[in-house]
Amino acid sequence: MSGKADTSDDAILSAYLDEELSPDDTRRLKDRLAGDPELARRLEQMRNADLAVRNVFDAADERPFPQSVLELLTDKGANSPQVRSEEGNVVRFPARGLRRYFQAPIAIAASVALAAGFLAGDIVRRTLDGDVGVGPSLYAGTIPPTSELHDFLESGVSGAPQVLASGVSAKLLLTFENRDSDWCRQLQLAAETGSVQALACRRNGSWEMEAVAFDANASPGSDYRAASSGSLPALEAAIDEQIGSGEPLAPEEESRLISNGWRKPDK
Amino acid sequence: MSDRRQEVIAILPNIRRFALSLTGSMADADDLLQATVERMLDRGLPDDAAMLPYSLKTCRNLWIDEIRAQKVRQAAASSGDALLSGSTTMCGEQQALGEISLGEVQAVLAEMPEEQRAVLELVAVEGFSYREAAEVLDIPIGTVMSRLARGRTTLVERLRN
Repeated sequence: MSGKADTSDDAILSAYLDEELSPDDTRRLKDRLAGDPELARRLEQMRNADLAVRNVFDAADERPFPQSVLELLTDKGANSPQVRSEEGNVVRFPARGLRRYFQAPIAIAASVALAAGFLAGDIVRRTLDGDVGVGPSLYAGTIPPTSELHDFLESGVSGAPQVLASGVSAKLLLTFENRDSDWCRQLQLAAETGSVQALACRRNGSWEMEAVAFDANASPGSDYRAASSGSLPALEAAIDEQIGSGEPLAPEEESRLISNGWRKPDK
Repeated sequence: MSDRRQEVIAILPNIRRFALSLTGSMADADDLLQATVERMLDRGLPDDAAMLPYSLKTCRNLWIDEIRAQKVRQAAASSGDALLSGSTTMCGEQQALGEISLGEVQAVLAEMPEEQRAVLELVAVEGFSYREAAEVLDIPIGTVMSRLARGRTTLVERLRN
């Protein structure tokens, strides 16, 4: 490598990276960058350094939040037997036996616990009519069969976003058969307070929430399109666990299945 | 019930990251996060738009006024649960960074002065403008600029190999 680096331009490069230079200074710097490969490389190194810093903090985000903090912010937290975070990583999803344990390695895992018990509760609550209580049934995992969310899961087509009556934006992402031969669907829900992705599976005619992940990238109030595209890591983990060696359904298979009332078409 | 608390939930990750930039340690960041949330609930939550800057200011004030001194005293006994813990997992995107490993960056950040680290976190990670960062940290904009530049210089120099 050549000798000691020239750091005299670091201040201006730094401000340029943050788009905090005046228009004149920006223009001048751009001209210099075009003609000075060393300077351009310095800028690139700075950009990479920023990215590296972001990665450190993203990695830190993977840890669950302390239960004590979550309890401060929810009514249910302190007393809820349904949502518990054990050993930081394994989140026990409400009720019903071993099948409901899943490992969500990302820390949104704790937010999953939280979202499942609260934030998602609020989002899903908005999709219901009248006084069908979501709270208890979401905590128990089952989506009320008279709810709009149930209808959406039951007959919605993957890929087409839909605004539900409450103003919540919903989109189904994919449909697959899990290891227990239940049909499962991944969906995104965006409301004013935030955005979640969820995995619901159909058993005996009702849909049950298997996993919910809070989308930390979608800030409250932003519209649906600001939600993360693609699967949130916590959801991917839950899906991987459930899907086994299967594949998501192709659109035509999905629509056949839906019109067949979720019974497998005869071959 | 008031759903202002939900807005706090939504920004817990932001507050915790900032707390981590101040404390340099995961465990301390969690403690500071807890104290921050308690303080905010005690004092009442501000209106919508102000929630994030308010929470970060509360966090910073708590750190400086109350918590930092305790933590410094405890520091001698603390084990490696810092920013630099090797226990964080790396996913594909992080590995795509190429030659810079997560551990290297963590080490550089850990040794960086807290004041530089905090500005770097607010601007490079949270995406705050200089003005917003200056507001949260209660420092002039010029100071934001110079701390950022120094922090980045350090990172570039140390990570260059």
